[in-house]
Amino acid sequence: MKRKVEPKAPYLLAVQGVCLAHAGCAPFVREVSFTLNAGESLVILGPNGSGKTTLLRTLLGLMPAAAGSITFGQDGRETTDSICAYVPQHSAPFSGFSAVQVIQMGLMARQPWHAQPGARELALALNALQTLGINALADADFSTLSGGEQQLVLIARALAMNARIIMLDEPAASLDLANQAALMALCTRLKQGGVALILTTHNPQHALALGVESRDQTLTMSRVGAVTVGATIDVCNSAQLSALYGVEVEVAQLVKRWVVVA
Amino acid sequence: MQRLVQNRLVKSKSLLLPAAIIVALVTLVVALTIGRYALSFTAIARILWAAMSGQPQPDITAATVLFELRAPRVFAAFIVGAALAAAGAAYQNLFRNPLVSPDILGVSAGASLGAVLAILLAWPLAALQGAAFVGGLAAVVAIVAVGRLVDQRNTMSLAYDRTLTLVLAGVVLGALFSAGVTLIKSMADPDNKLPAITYWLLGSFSAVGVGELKFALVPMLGGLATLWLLRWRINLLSLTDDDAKALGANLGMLRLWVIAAATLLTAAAVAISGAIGWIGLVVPHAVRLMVGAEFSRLLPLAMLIGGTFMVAMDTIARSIAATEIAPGILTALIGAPMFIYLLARGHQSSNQPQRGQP
Repeated sequence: MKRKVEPKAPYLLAVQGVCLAHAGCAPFVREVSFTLNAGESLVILGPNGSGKTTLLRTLLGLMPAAAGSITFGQDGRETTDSICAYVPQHSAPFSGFSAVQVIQMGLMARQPWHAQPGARELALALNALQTLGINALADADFSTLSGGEQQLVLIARALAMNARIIMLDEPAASLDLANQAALMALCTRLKQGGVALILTTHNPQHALALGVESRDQTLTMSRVGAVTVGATIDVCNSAQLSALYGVEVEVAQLVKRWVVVA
Repeated sequence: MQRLVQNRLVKSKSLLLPAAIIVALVTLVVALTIGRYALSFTAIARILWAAMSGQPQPDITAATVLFELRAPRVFAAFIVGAALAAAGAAYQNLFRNPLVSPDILGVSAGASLGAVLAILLAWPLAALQGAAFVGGLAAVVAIVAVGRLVDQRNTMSLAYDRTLTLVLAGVVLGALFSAGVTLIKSMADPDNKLPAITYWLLGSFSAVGVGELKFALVPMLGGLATLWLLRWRINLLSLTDDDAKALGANLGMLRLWVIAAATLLTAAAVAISGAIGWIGLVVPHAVRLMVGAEFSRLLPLAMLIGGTFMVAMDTIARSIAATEIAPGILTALIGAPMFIYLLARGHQSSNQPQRGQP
């Protein structure tokens, strides 16, 4: 498997023929290929246990792929750290760190061992919190925040690091309905701001909520390892979703929104 | 409103360090005056003045008590308390767990085994310290290995409790090392070596002189300097493995340095005074509740409070009764109920996944 950075690529991320396998086993997911650009989104959709998180962790470089290549392209804009940032499903750092300190950890991660955060890191952190409208959380103990607030702080961390791709693992899983809607609105805003998003979900509604233009992609993963990638509007139709989840699913347009009924 | 209160708290935190310094100084001076041979404040001032201005001491006995006995002892208690608190703070960050400490992890027991072996073999002081360090290191390595093994087997289980694994592994290791100590005791010469070992195991500052102090200062300063230089970097250890890796932080070397520094501090403390428990657990935990977990703020305050606490305990231990009692008894009297309280309070703060919470 190859994992590289291409300085002058016409894309932010190109994934070519990636296969996922547990150590010593035959691949359970074959040939994942897609490209992603600034301002685009890719939703990894599938039932529980289909390997969504495994694929995300592979893209992040947390585990090796059995085959294929993952290439990050730089578009010339300065990034504080890595090109991509990770918003995990649960990130419970040790209690007693403020939201600002959690963001500073992201900014300091690639600095030399003796580095201390200075005025610049503080300003970047506060700015990112301001962008998301959560500056009131700056001094709050991160471990006491709700799941949704923690997620927002971690998204702020990604913004502070000027990450070009933000990868979110099941971001809506622990949110109530109102917060799910707020999260989807935020994701749309991030996309409009030029960030590329990759998120996993088991709810096709979230894929449709993120946009149905041609640049909004969805990658479905079934329990038996079948993968399809395409524009969300092409992938999330009644027939394909029914096959994916194994129950009768209907996708319909309601006023201006798409809804999924199982 | 709540944020307002919080902001005010943040400001009041900046006063904590000066306050802790003042309390530490007062405690040190008071500890110098108390003892079988009472020294008044003015007597101490006069002795110090005479020593600094090069005049002959007016009261030779008092000066000898101060310089040869009391000051080394008080100073030793302070640096042992500070070292144990610093080591505890480092281990708590390293294991991402507020309920671990040098004694609970079995590091103190490992260091004791090394030291006792050195006493049995009549090794010099430097070798005793080295043996304590090797014993402590063996304990940490074993704990890390057991933790990893049990973690790997249980990643899928929701009921899995990482804190319990570490604490139980520490208990088991501690028992194993104690068995080793018992074995050495049974092999020791009952007229000569056995009393020395038994006395040393009781844990006391009464035998500390200037020579022992000089010896302990090198590893102590080495460990502390390492922790201080890494003070911001250590914060990254509190991230989950995935998160740290995704951020591009390479923490492998950092872990090794922190383990080495904290174990060196523990071993040096154990070599001076035997295994004194609870300070390494209770002090960093309490300080974290006051100033948060950010290590560059946590470390100096934990050291000051740990040192002050140890000096206070030792002063009480040597003056409360006709015969001295071991200071470890007093720290246990305070530490054990505190540990149970912390355990009962629930460790939401450890890295239990909080599933399904909004």
